[in-house]
Order: sequence, then structure tokens, then C-alpha cells
Amino acid sequence: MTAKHHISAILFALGLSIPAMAATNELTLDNVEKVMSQGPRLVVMWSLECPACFDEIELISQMLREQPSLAISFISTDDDPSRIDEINEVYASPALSNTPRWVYAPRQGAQLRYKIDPSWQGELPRSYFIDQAGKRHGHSGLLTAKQLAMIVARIE
Amino acid sequence: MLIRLIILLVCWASFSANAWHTKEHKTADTSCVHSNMMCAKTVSSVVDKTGRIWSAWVVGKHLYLNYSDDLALNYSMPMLVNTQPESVSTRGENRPKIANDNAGNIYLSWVTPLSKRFTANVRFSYYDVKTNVFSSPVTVNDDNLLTGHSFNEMVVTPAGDVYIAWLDGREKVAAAKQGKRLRHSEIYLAHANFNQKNTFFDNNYLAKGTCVCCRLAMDLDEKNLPMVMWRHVFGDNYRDHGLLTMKNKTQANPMKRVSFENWQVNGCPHQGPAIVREVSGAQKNRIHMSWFNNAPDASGLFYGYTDDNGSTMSTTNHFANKAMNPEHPSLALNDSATKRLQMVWREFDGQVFSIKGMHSTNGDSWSAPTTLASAKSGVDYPYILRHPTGNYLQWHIQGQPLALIKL
Repeated sequence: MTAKHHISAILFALGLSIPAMAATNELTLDNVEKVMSQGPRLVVMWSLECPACFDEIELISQMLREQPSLAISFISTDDDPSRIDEINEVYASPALSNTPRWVYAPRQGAQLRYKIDPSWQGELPRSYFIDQAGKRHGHSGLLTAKQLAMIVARIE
Repeated sequence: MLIRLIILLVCWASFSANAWHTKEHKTADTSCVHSNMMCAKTVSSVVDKTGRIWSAWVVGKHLYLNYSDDLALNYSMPMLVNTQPESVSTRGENRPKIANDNAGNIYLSWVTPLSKRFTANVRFSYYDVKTNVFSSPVTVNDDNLLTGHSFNEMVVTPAGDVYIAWLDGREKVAAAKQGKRLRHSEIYLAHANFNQKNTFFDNNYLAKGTCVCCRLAMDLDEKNLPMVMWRHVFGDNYRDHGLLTMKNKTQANPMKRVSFENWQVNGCPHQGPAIVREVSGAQKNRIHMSWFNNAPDASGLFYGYTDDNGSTMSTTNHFANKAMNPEHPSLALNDSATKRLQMVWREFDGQVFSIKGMHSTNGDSWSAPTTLASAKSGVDYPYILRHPTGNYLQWHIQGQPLALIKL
């Protein structure tokens, strides 16, 4: 039994539980529709190959530090399973601990992109504000402070 | 008798292809630890005067080179380029580059990601066909900085002058020391000539203010000096294309803007352009160009040409349907009178990837696009190989043997 298991056992005996570590979930053709229709929510699409995406992640991380309950999800569009450690390294940021985080299923990048939005040509960062009715409003490139403020007002 | 002969030939051809692949290749993913060409995510090829197709590809931390004398039906045993393992970028547009000179020597350039995110070095090795020896891989960028050096492109003159251009981040490091943050990259150009034992790559600054995440495109001008086309950032994040020619081996002429769709996006298009120059005939020195753009009223693929190195552009031809996710145009010339200029690109309709193609005599008008090949998944970007028997589309799907399709 590992130390972590010992602690778990003690906490369990005391009627407590360890906070679950958020896991990275696989975005598939079967679940993408559901993930992309639960609003109001901001969904941020990013990639390890996109320097501007890291500016966006940093900007939103800062918001989440101040308002951890904002309804924001992240989706990595890297559909290469050999990069999962690099993706998880980004998701390991404490600011993102409460946010649902997703990664494209292996080799399904084009299919998922098309299902999310056939008019999206793959440029990144790409964000979707999903409204109360589940409708997606897409934006390419970094969100401006003004755009973010408008979205935050609707996902608080 | 003739029918029996044809059947025998077909059987032999399929047997020899299968025999090779069953002997050398297992399935992709699970067994991709050895020199198995089918495991490669991307394949980069060049054709020599004899019709031999040389292909460079990556498995694990190794770059391999092999060749085919029968239009990719059979390949030679792979040769290891880098004996010391190193990461090699082989994703999307950021893949190894291959070129040759008139003597048939092979030039390889690739990008090695480094420890920090978005840092990399441009690497190079030269394969001497006479001695059958690879030069030890060297780092082309000479700044010795942990910063970005990527999206390398390479052209080689018939005499063996090798030019490598890439997106460079050394100015970002300099700016950071002054507390500033640069969001664009510069283009640097390196030159060497291994045939003349000039094996040191000088580094020369060409341009600044480029988009940081799209491949460059290169060709040679009439004087065998390089020309570079790339996605630039104009004004407030308008990502259109620039073209520059060289005054000499080290100094660039001013950049000329050659696309005007005005796609304003503060992000990564991940789509670079294509360029090819007419080397003979009535349109000698015409530079044909193709690119992707995604402005609200101008989304899809575009083609245009210039007869004066980018000072003036032809009417732009907007083709390919945005709804089909068109991407990665590739251009090539050949000797055919009616199909001198050929273009291929990739589309995806939600279910099927298709490689589309069309042709033109001089760029003024184009044939209707046709579907050259299609598959449900894993289709690599299309490239045109100029072969002595005509042009071929390189059709690559990871996990399957490489195939060539006559254009």
C-alpha cells in the first residue's frame, strides 16, 4: 500500500475524502456534441503547436484564479497520443484545477473539428461561447479583454 | 500468352510490393520502434535525374533516408541519418526537408525541438552519393540560443549551393532582455556549399514581423538565388503573404506584399503558401503562388502569379470551397504542353479526405478540379513529385505503403 493509499484509508475512516484530481478526458465523435452544447460556458480550443494559445491560457488562468467557478472548459486539439504528457503538463496548472479539460481522441482532429464547426478552418486559438440554449458562437484568435468581459458576465 | 504475361507481371508487382512491406513493415503505432517506413507520420521526397525517388522520414528519434527506383513500389533498406538520437519534428508542415543537386547528392534539413516549449534548432546533414556517407548532423542556426528556430525550408542549386530559411526567435531573446515581448518572428537564411567544401552555414537576417506558426515556401530565381514566400503580419494582425528575392547570397531585397485578402486574426493559421518559378518558355521567370486565407469574405485557397518578383500581381483566382476545409496547396511545373502547371490540395467533407487537383498552361485559367484520391482517415498533406516520366502526387497515409499517383 502506498503512502497515498494510507492517507486515503485514514481519511475514509474519518469520513473524509481526498479531493479528486481533475482528469483529462478524451473528446470523441460520440461525446463532442454533448460537451459543445452545455451552456452557458466558454470553451477554449488550443494546441501545443500554437504560441498564441498559451497567451490565451495565461489570460484565462488569471481570471480563474480570481473567479474559480467560471464555467470554462479547455480542449486540446492535439490528436497525437504521444503528446499527452505535454498536454497534461499544461493542464496541471493549479488555476485550471476546477475546469473540465479535454483532449482530442487519437487521429480524430479533422473529424472533431468538422463536427464542432464545419466553417472553422482549424486556426487557433479558437473559442466558443455556448449560450443558455446551447448555441455556439465561435471566435478565432485571442479573445480581447472586452470580449472576455462580455462572456464572463454570462458564465459567472 | 499475352494475357498470361500480364497476369504474371501484375502478380509479380503485387508480390514484390507486398513481400517488401510484410518483411519490413508491421502495423503502425504498436510496433513503431524500428526503421519502418510505414510508421512515419510524414514523408518528404525528391526525385533525381534517373527517376530515383529519395524519401526522408522519421520514426522515434531517428531520421531515415531510402530510395525507390520503381515509383515507390519497392524501397531500399533505410539508411540512418542521425546516429545520435534526437527529436525530429515531423508534424503537419513542420517536417524534414529534402533536396538534391545536379550530381545527385542529397541534402536533409530538419528541426529538433529543445527542452523549453517553442524552442528548437534547425539541423542539417548531407549525403554524398559517391562515397555513400552522411555528414555529421550540424546545427544551422548560429546563435546558440534556447529560442525558436523552426519551419525550415530548403532549396539547393544544381551546383550544390544550399540555402535554408527558417522562422527565428533570436530577436525575441534580445527583446526579452530589455523587458519587451515580441510576438512575431524573423526570417533567417543560411548558405553553404558542401561540394566546394564550404560546410559552414553563415546566418543572414532577411525579414521581421512574420506569423510565428506557418511554413515558408522557397524556390530559386534566374540567378539561382533563393526566393522566400511566407505568411506575414501586416498592420493590426492582417495575416497575408510576403515575397522576397535576394540581391546576392546574403542580402535581401525589400519584401513585396503578394496577397490581399486581409484575414485579421491574432492567432495561428497553421497554413503556409506554395511557390514555383517558370524556368523556361514564354512565361520564363513567372512566379506562381498559392495560399490559404480565411477572411470573412475571402476564405479558401487562392492562386496568383507575378512577372516582376512581386511588384505587381495577376488577378487572384479564388478556388476551393470553404465548406470542404481546403488546405495545403502544392504547386509544380512539368514538361507537358497542356498541363504545365499543376496544383494539388487536401479537402475534408466531414467523412472523407480527398486530394484534389487541377492544371493550367500558364496560370491564367485552370481546369475544373478533380478528385485524385480519397480515404477516410490519416491522409497526409499532398506533395507533387517531378519525375522524368511525368509528375506524381505523393499519397501518404501513416500505416500504409507510400503510393504515387500519376497526374
